Amino acid sequence: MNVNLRLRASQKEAILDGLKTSAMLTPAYIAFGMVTGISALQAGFSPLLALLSPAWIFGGSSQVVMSELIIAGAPLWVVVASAVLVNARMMVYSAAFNPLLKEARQSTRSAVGFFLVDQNYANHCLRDSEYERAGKPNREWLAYYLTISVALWLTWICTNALGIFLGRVIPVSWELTFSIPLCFVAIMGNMVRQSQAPLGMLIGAVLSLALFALPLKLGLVASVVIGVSILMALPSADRANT
Amino acid sequence: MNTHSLLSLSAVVFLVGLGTFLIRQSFLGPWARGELPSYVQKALKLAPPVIFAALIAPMLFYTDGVWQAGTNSKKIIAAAACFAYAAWRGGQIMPLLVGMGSLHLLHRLY
Repeated sequence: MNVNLRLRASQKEAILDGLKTSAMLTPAYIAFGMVTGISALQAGFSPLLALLSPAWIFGGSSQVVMSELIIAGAPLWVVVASAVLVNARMMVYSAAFNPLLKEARQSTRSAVGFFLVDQNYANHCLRDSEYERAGKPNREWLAYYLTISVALWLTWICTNALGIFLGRVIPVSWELTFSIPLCFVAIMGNMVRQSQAPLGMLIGAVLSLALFALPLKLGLVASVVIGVSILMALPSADRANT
Repeated sequence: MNTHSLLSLSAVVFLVGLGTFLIRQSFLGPWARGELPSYVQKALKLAPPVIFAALIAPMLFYTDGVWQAGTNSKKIIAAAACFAYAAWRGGQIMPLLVGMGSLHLLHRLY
């Protein structure tokens, strides 16, 4: 029984890999978490509620949308619907992890699901084939994924706390918030050689800009659904499947 | 604004979190044990670039819900530099530094 507690070398490597990824994402988290914490207070949250919110929701964009709509005086059902719809993209992430965890225990699957965010999914997309190529079993993948997830979750709570208790501690002139989109831009740059990826990026960008003004923050979900449908309808989609 | 009680704000946080939780568990809960249909698997392979582009494009081109491509031109150029570096050399930390560095350089230039 105790054997399970001893980490194998490859799992240690995976954990270190996960910690490195998390460290790299920290500047973006500081910038985003700080702003999110401040916006919660502006929306009338008590400090405790503003601190529980990142721990329970763990989704920056939806938390900011929630605060913004409350401040704008929107009906509360619109606030809830919009914030949840912003996170609807996570259904794709959930589905993406489904095949990997087919044999996993339900507790593992639920734990993976609880921590799903853009960043761990994006890094999974880059490393997925790496772990597959190495012929590594899912243990290493799980060690990597859970390391990033728990690290990011704790970082997210701490950086929200930074905004709640200390306010804007980092000057705007540092442009730290710009590192949020940049993390994804860097990942997209790494993906550019995959067939259909450049076209997918172009379609996603154009649609999201065109549909930005849709009500209930539907623009993102609509862009993803329409964009992927267009790609699937193209004859070359079959090549991407192999 | 701020006319809501702490109780109703707590209810909003709880419901948003619950909705998000269910979305996250949608394909990982005990009800999702079966094999995914092949067209779903195909869609999942095609989705990442579309999602990431759709996430970040509005951050670059809009500010506070208003189209600001002109004002944001430095950020758009810096993001292009980050993208080009990542496409060329791979990695994540260096492209991030290239992007941040480009933005600060552009701030000094104009």
